[in-house]
Amino acid sequence: MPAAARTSAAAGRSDESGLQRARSRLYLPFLLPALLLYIVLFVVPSLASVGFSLMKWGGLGSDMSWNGLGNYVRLFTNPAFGTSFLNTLLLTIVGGLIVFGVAFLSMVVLREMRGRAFIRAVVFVPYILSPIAIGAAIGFLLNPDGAINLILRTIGLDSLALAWLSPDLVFKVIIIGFIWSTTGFYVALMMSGVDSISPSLYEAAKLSGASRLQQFRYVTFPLTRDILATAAVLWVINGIKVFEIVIAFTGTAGTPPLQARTVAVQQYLSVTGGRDGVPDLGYASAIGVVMFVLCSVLVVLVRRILRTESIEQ
Amino acid sequence: MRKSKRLVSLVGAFGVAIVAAGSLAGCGTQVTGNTGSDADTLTYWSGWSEGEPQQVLFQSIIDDFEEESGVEVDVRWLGRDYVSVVNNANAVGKGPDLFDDATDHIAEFRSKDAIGDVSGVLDMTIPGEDQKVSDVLSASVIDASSDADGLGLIPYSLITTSVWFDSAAHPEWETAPPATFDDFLAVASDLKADGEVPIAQDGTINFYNAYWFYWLMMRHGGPGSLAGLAESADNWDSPAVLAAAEDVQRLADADLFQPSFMGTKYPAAQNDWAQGKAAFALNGSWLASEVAPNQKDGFAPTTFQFPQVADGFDSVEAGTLGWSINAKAKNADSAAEFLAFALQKKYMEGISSEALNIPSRSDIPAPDFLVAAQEAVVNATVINKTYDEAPALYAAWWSDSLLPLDDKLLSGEITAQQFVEQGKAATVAYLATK
Repeated sequence: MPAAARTSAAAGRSDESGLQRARSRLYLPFLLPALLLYIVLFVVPSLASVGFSLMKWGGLGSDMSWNGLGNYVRLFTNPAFGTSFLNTLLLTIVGGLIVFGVAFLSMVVLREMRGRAFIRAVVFVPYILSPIAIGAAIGFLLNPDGAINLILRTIGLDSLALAWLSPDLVFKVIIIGFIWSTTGFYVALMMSGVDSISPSLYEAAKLSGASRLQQFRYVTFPLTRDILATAAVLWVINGIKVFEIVIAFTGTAGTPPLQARTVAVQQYLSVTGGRDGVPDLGYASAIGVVMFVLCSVLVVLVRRILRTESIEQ
Repeated sequence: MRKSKRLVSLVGAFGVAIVAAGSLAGCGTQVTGNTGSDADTLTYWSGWSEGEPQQVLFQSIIDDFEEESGVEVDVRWLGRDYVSVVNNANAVGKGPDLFDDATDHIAEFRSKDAIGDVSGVLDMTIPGEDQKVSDVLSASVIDASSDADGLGLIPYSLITTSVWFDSAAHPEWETAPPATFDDFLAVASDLKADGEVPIAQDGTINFYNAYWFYWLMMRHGGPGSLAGLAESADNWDSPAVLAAAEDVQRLADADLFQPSFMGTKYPAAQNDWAQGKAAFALNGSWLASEVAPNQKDGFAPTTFQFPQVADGFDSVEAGTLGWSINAKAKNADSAAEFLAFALQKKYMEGISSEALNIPSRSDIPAPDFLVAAQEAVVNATVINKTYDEAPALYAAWWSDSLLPLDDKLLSGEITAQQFVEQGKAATVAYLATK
């Protein structure tokens, strides 16, 4: 290598490393505010929450005492928590299968359909409705002498006119309500992925004689897998946090019946102490920790199942 | 999930520092009963919201008090979430001098050492009247405002639970109500035979469903017997528990509620009752004012006490709404002075005429529909607190064990025997990890 070139290369390296050094010096001041906020507002409270889960504590103003794993033992030996845990899993898994089933169906059907924007808007509307409004409507619709039973009786289906809001039935109704209120969001999310697929791919598939299902199988599905993974993670997180729809269906005058409680509802009852009781924040924190672990496990599982190499169009 | 966890954590993180700071500053309050204010400002936080009849009434008391005493009252109308707001503010040493309280919240405020000694107020003279506060409050009302540590609040209003009916439709029950539970079941069964709905029950409110077992426990086992079920699993072996559960089962088997009552969303059933579509409703003293906008013409609600059982107990439920003075109040004497001032007849009459509730003062008649309930409470020799205080003292047991089992018993899903067996087992599990 000629001397001049060597010098130039050395100078280049030196410039590059100088720039890199300057850049790396800049990372810290740019990163620090966000990092500090994240640590103060999320990491510290989360760790504190784990700490509180090992305590017996009635909330601000009351004494805190060490309880070891007592709150966790109480959780896992309490049939009420067991029921709420199973309910949450049931809602997340069964509800998820149905919601994504509908989302896939809409990806096949809605893509080329006339008026698809209108249909998407219609299925999205329940997502933006206030749970309070839903709760008020429930009474009119689902009471023993409400609109649903009135219609069923009018068309001669008396045997199907049930006590929809009774403790044994209300959770099934809540699952249906949750699916109804959230499907639109996931349809919109998945369809945004479909919209970004180049039409030429579908034209090519059609020219090759691919049916609609085959187009979905070989074009739509592989190219929307990343969005599906994101949507599934969102679903899991939202499913485990389900709270307000349960309250909308069961009302706030009493407490939700055991058969309809989710983990978040059970946590709410501990945080507030039910109607008149003293809050039980150590126990509520233990529920929070279990929810976090459950959520993490399910999210990792979902990510693993849907993991794939990114496909470029 | 994260949101609520973070909230708990945040509150808690600050709480540790606050608890430490609070314990250094803590000092007891003693109302001396000395009138003549030692401070110019009294802070008062209320559980009523702007516009509610009680708020309007209390504001007028505050206005008059400010004018006559020269003490400025700094009031905040917090609404129903006041308990946590007061507790959180107390924890950081910024709590009010005076705050709203109720029989069923005394336990929580006590657990935070928030309640100061208000017994001194009883000896104070009511301005403009030649009598002390203790002269106008009956022993049962004082009892209902107290816990094991003594008087917790100065009451302005009474609440109780009784059997409601329309005296226009059934004047005979006004003079001769069903005396025993057997009589009650017989009357209700006769109504059913005539094609009427005997009892309206908003079955989706588990607290309301629990009224039946609670009352039958009070009758068979007496005050303390229901809360006692959470204290020792052996208490479930008492014959009174099975007897009470069997009476609930008889009620369920007789099918006396409206069809599909367990699926009735509140307030549909109580509104139906006010429309005359059902004869009885077992509910609190607030029921008549709640259903007032929906009642049929000529509807004349009134109450009788829960019927007796053979060789049973005869207590009357009594709860109160009132004011507590903060244990850390800076102006405890001004607060006490305000309470004696507020209990004047001219103000407390508003509890009856404007708020349509039972006033705490025995010498002020309740609204017509609550006169029977007021007489029962004021003249009671033995009282019991609402739900025997079980939800306040043993919240997790109440919510996770008793209410779900009670729903099953009342809906006929399980027998009295199964209820007792499962209740005992659930209590063993509860006590093991309490």
